[in-house]
Amino acid sequence: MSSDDPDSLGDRIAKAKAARDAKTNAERPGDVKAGESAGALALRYGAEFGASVFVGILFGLGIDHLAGTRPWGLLVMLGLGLAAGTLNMVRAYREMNARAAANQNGPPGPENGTG
Amino acid sequence: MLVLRLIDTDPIKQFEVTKWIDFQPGGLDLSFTNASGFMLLGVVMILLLFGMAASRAELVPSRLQSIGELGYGFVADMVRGAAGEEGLKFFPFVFTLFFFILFANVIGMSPYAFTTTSHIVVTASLALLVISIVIIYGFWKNGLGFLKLFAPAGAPWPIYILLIPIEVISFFARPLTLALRLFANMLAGHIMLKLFAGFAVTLAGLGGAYIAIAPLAFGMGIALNALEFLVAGLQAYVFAILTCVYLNDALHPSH
Repeated sequence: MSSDDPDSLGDRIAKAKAARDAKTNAERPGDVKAGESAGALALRYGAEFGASVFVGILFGLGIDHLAGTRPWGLLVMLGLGLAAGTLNMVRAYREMNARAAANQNGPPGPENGTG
Repeated sequence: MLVLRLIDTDPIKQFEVTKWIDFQPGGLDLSFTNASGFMLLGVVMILLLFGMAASRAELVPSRLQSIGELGYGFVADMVRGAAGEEGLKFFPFVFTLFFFILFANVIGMSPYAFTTTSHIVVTASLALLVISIVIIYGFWKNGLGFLKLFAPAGAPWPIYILLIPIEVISFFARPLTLALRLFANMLAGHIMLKLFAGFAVTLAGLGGAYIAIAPLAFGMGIALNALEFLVAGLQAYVFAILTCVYLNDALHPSH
């Protein structure tokens, strides 16, 4: 019967493709969740925050060294470094949220990384 | 107590760099160390794997060919997802980076092997390479428009006095987080592994009631081993995906 109908093969291929897509999409979030344990998250946020503060301190010391404005460059840049650290943490959180949401609704789009 | 003296349980000793071939031309230390050796081993293994996978291409892929194709597809999807179709010109770079780190991490999991990625020199070099490419390509493609990265559009002008330094700091923090995360994960994981394995041996060596606790430490070691394999793969993935995200900024600097 089915060999007479030209649509049946196409239909079956479409059905198989849909089933495969559903399966791969269902498997993906599990993979990601398994990796993002509490410890990994803590390390990620810590690294984001700490690195920004560290870079701020380096910039401050550099400015003080070059311009001779001894405590002020360090103080100002340390404050800005703290702000940048917070900003980076918020960005990391948003990016992970976007990725988790994209994994549930389909493959990730190009707009994920732009944060 | 004899066992204790025979087995070295120092958790830091695995990270020691030792010279295999001493080579110091003009006072410059270019010795071939165990770090160089294990990096070379990783590169050779990658070349062998993909060379063999690509040598006999068939319509119905063999197991090895499937591994090669899966690896290629995985990295291509990652680049496309984070940096768009345009980012695919960086595919060879991200592919190399991902497999170099993955192989370094996984080789480090075998006993007596040296984990090259547990040294901040290695991870920092990789991170500096990434950020240099982002900066050079960003300026080459966008000219001074690349600086828009530091000034997100749509803020009132007094805000920019604060915002631009913050953005600059957070940009230069990127290579640091990239290097730190891989380094810290590998270092901490390998110290933990060695500690728990050392506990098991020490407790068993003490005898008496301690032998009853030794299997607990041993079980913990096995669980950590599994976790470390996950971390080895995951950190290579994280490094590669963040590279793609940063390359995306070089391609499209406006926020």
